[in-house]
Amino acid sequence: MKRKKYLSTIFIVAMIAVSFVVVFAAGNGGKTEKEAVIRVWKGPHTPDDNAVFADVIAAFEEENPGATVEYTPTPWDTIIEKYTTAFASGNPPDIIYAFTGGYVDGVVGHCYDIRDIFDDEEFAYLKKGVADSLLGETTVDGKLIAIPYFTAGAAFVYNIDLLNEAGFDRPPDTVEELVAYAKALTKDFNGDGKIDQYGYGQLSYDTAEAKPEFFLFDYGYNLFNEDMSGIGYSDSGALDAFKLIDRLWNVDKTAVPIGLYPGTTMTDAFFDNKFAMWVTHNQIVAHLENYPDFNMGVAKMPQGPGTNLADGRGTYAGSGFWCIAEATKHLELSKKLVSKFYDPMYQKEIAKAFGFVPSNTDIKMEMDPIGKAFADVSLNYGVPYRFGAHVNEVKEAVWRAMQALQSGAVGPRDAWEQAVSEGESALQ
Amino acid sequence: MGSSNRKFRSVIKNRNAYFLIAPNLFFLFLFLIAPFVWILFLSFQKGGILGPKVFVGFANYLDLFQNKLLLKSILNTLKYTVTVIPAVFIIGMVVALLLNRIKKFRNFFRTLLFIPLLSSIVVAAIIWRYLVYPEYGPVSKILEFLHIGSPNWFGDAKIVIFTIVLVELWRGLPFYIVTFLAGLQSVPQEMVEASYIDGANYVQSLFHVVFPSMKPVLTFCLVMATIWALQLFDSVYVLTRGGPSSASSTIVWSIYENIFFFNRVGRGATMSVVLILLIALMTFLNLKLTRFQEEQIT
Amino acid sequence: MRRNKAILIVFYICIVLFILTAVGPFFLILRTSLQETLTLTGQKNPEYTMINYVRLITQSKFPRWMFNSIVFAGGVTVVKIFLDTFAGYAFARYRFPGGKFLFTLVLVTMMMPFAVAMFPVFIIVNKLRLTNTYFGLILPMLANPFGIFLMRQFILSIPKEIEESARIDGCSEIRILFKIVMPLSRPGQAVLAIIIFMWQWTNLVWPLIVTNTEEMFTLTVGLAGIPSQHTIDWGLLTAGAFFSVIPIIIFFLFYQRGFIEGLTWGAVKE
Repeated sequence: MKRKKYLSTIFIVAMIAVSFVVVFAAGNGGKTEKEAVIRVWKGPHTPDDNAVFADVIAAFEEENPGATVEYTPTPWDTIIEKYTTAFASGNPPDIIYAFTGGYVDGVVGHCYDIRDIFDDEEFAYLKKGVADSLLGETTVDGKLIAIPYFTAGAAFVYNIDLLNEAGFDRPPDTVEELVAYAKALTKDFNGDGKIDQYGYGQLSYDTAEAKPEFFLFDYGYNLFNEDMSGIGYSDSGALDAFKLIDRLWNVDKTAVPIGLYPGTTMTDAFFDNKFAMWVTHNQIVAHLENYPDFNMGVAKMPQGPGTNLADGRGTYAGSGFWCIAEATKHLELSKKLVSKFYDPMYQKEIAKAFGFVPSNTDIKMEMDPIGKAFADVSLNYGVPYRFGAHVNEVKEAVWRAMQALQSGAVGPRDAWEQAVSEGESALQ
Repeated sequence: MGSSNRKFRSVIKNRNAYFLIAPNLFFLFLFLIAPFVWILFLSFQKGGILGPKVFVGFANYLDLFQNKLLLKSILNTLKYTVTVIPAVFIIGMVVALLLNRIKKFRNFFRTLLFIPLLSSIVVAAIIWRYLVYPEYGPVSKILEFLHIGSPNWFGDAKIVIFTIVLVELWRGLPFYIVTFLAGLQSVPQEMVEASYIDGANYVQSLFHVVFPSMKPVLTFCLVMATIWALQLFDSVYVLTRGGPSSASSTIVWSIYENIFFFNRVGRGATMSVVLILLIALMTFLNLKLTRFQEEQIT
Repeated sequence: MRRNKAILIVFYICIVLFILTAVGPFFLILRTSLQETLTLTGQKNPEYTMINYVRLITQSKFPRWMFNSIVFAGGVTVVKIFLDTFAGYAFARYRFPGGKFLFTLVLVTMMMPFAVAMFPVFIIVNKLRLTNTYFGLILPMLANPFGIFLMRQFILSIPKEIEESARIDGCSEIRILFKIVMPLSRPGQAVLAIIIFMWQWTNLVWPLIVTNTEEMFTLTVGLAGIPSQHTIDWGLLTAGAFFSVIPIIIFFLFYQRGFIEGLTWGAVKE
């Protein structure tokens, strides 16, 4: 009996608390009218993204009394639907950090063309040090929605110690070498039939991370054609990419079986010497400080006969940048904040924290060898993406086909044909 | 004229009833019924979340029959449903029968068995990801000890649905165990004893006396289990994201994916309508099935 | 006799095995959460330490998520108790034009999964400018026909005489509702409260869609977002999982009979 009475008092207290909070929270909604709150969203690139922006935000708030910045790191797992729903609601964040490659393609069209909102002087300030050729990456349907801010990319990454052990003193240059290296690096230590170390691994959680297009890059192909109107791998030469996958996963079995290390456990596995080589993005640099004894090598991706490195085709490199949503209610303040982000002093600090390369080439970064290696690969061999309404779907189509191939469900030709037909229908 | 007058007076006389149900029905209408009608309309349109939508008639439905992915989602959902329901019924009933026979500690055991149901799918996912983690997870270690070797739980397209079945079973069984137990305890003992006197053995008395008198319980569970199984989403979202290669893509996952990732609202809406029809159909079939059995027995 | 005893022992063993699978994993993750993850799952500092919990409380928004879950689940529960008792009473005691139709409508909506409605509901909540607010979290979750059905069935099983004699004595309808019906429906309400609280505590999809800032995440959303930010820290993750399950387990242990009665109610009391 006492217990029941206890519970009903808890209930009543909870009820009062709830009504109090609900009223308080409803009141909170009105707060934005009085004070200007600039909302900035970005996917996190470090465990504590807020700290990276502390300085620039403090400076901005000091210069603009009455304005506060609410910086929200939006977790990658839910970022696509968060951005989409925010923009769909007509109440998006004021500023978003956007980038090419398939996450935010649905929403960037709803950001301002910066030529419309910044005057010539301000525009020149933003653009200083950024090559004209890069502007294609931040153009959507003819709108220039931002100036590139970071260049980030992926590169071929390998475990130097494991390679040395197997007798290799340099990373593989060609696809044939990659296959041979993978064979030598796949080992069963105790003879129990279970492979303890694989030669090759891949990012494999969701589509945007898996970067299925790398295999296409190896042979000089891409997801899309130049103007994003069609897929870029319908040429039968692209079949070679699928044959390479088949070779690594099914014939030689020198690649980590798909799904074995779900999600970010793949990174853990790499540092645990579970596999020797893979292609990954430069965010891995941030983890290195946890593994001081680990020797990581960075190189350009192994190339197949179809590639022409002089063309600059070799890996993914994209731009990250800041856009202002058209639905913002604080345009002037948002412009000021964005300009502050592009202040070379802060841009350098932020780039350093994330391990990215500023697109403003006037900013000289002192980078450790690994950071520099990533930067070199991205800048010299990077294939820029463009935005498109169906990027996600086409990537998903290719990734699905590759997954089916990697799990042995289909053969390389079938996988390629499936990727082509589903990719083409995704563009309709 | 007499009847509408009567109705009007009935309305006035019972006006309290309307006031009482109004708030509840308001929310029901605003957040459930209206959205459904909206979705129905959306299924006849094509477009993205942001931006204009075009009326296309039945085009989305025709596309559906040719879209291998969408059909695969439906197939996966059915595969899951057909696996999970017998499993849940058989295991649930076995445990309930066991518990029924045990006098001492029964409530204590029942309490312990109930706990997995309290975890959210995220917690269950964390637990299971940890348990089957290659080499280091406890389950992997046990399997290695038994020399069985771990399957590729999340990466093998052929078994990933069964991995999900496993996680959902772990989490969902308590509901069925507890419900079946309550049902078993409400079976009149005299009937069971009578059947023993008539010479029936244990199994016969189960099927001819116990289960038939538990019919309401069993029917209810069957209907709910089917409805829930057809809506599988949370596990897919947290554990596999539909992969690998759409092997674990369910209907609701494909709705979510199409709307939020691919910006194809019309297609998502069409799949939603298909889901509702499927649920209605399966519920109808379930009810028919159990009524038919009743006729057979009596 | 001996055979019976032997069989009984086998039964006990089977049950214990099942219990191990049900409860065992919780102890395993408890153990992991008490160990600091150094770098990898294999390399754990075997000493027991509370560091994961400390980090959880100080470095992440976990306490706020816990609070949000309580407000969200509690808010829905409290409001639903009133709404559903009123509606259940109306359907149970009154015969009014449209009553049958409306109740059938309620039954039909029981078959409608929220997943289908989630997108339009989101748009509606947006138009009302309620995204990322407690109202936005709670209000759509009030649209659930289950409670109406449950309370109606329950009230039907309460004898009408008490209300009728009160009516004869001249009691107003409102007083009858609050002084007689509400108290008498307590057991049913308790059952309803527990089910709804449990559903909303473990709800993932709606809080996921409607919240935008970490401040407003519920436990499920926050916990689901942790793994993606860096390599998997099993210690932190399992600590979060354990911590988010504990409140409801405690709630459950306090009120087991209610939980179990609640779940079996719909099934057994047809």
